Amino acid sequence: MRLLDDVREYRSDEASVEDDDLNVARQVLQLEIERSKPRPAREKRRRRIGLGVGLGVGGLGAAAVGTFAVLSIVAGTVVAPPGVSSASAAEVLERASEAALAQVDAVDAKLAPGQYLRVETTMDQITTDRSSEDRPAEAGAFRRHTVEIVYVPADRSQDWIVETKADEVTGVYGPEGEEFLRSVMAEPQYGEASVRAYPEGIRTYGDVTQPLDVYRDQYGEMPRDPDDLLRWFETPDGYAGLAILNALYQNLPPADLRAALLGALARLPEIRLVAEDGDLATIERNNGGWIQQFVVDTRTGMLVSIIDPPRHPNDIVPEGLPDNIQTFTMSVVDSAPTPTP
Amino acid sequence: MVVNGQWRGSLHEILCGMWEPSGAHEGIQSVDNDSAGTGSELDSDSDIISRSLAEPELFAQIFTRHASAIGGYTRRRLGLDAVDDVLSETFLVAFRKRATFDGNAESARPWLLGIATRVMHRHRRVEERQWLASAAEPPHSVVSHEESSDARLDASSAVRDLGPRIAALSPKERDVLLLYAWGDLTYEQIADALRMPIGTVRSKLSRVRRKLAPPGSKTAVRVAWMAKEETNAVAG
Repeated sequence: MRLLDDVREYRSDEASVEDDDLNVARQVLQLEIERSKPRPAREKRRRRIGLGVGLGVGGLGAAAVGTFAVLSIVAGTVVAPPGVSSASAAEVLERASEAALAQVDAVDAKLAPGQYLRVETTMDQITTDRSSEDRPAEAGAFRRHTVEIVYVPADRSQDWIVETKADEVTGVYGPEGEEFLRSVMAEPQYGEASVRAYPEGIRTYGDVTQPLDVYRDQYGEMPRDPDDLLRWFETPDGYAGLAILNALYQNLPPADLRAALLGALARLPEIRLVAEDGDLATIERNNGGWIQQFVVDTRTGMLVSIIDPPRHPNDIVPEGLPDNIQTFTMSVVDSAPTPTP
Repeated sequence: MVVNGQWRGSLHEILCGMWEPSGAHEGIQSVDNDSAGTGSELDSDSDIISRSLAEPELFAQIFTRHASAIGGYTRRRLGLDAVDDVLSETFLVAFRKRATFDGNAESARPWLLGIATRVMHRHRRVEERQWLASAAEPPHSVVSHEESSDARLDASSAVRDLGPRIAALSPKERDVLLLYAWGDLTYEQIADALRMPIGTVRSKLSRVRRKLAPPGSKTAVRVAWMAKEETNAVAG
């Protein structure tokens, strides 16, 4: 059938990998196979203390950092950080964790009936003429600013309101930037302005439902002890960093859980502190050379932003502009906009 | 990290050598040298997995046979950057759960694709970005006279236009579609991989066809007609 043939053809040029791309998984499995073999009692592995230990050992921690000017975000403005203090990422996240605990009342109980927790998420994303191929830009790129505001009702069983602003183009780069932008704008567009209501904050995709705060159904079972919580994320499949950041997204979990999530992040070996600017700390997560940064407000324990540094620095996009920045701003408001038909 | 007697090291921890067992660098061969372990290349996946319960190193052959396909499927859905993570997790889970593998299944690929699909759910935001990037992709440039024929352009355009429509599918519909179209699984294999009734697979794929067909197109009409035929056939 033609339609499914078309699907088969879609991204068919990306349907293979080189043998080298399998090396990491091959090593991981080999280690697991070795571990599973019966053997005399192993020497107890030393417990990791803090975060600096792991990153000092391997070559992965240093990958690509030097090419990116570390940024922190203050009220949507990109500012250069003053530098890195002697604090470790673990200490910083521990401070943020304590701050989150101190916020329990503010976040969980101080919404009066009828009020809303307003969570504004902005995203500034670079799209280049080679983004889809994961290669450096060749001749054109543009930057798009999107805004989504979630209004969480004091009674979370009521309608959650999601307001999406119309996208704005905030920069066009390269000799063929305008032409590239026009070609993209001719495609079906996302992010058109809208206001939608989601009963109990649940989105529906066909017959599938999903809460806006994706881990909501697990909040109750998630341990509040950071070590236990890290194990909760790592069981049964392992990798936790991305999942923890996803859980923290938009700061929607209850504050005691956010504190535990920050504490669990502090225990990951692949993160390090790269900058501190007042209450804002920029933490970097390096997952095998794939770098992501997140900014935490150590005074409030809130996740302030997530930054994807340039994967392929090039001459088209101005130096220092990250591929993507998402920022989260929280406030309490008395009303929410009315959903559009 | 040791949890309940099981080792749960992070990828970074492993690669940084914080824990390095003896014999760590022996064993799994590259795809071109698929002679890992002592199992015969002629053995079925089921035989190898069954024997790997007593001889764990045999499981390396399962990696050699299927890692490239699972890696390709992952790359197609999430991009090359996600291959390390997803492939590592998939084979770790598969190895730890190999005792639950259905011995009646000849090939392990549907089982592995099912595990990979569940692992990929953790990377949903990455996948969403991939689909949005696809939606923003400009039309491919025409490079030859032959390619400039109307039919060729129409075909290219039809494929490109699928991106936004696939992006708009629900996660489960997308899983079913991509396991069918990219994973080359049968309805039954998809049902096993996603742990859902085969009737659900059939109905989801039927719904996906309708959603993918451009509204008002001949294809949409044909698909709607085919769906009706399928429904009638099932109804009996």
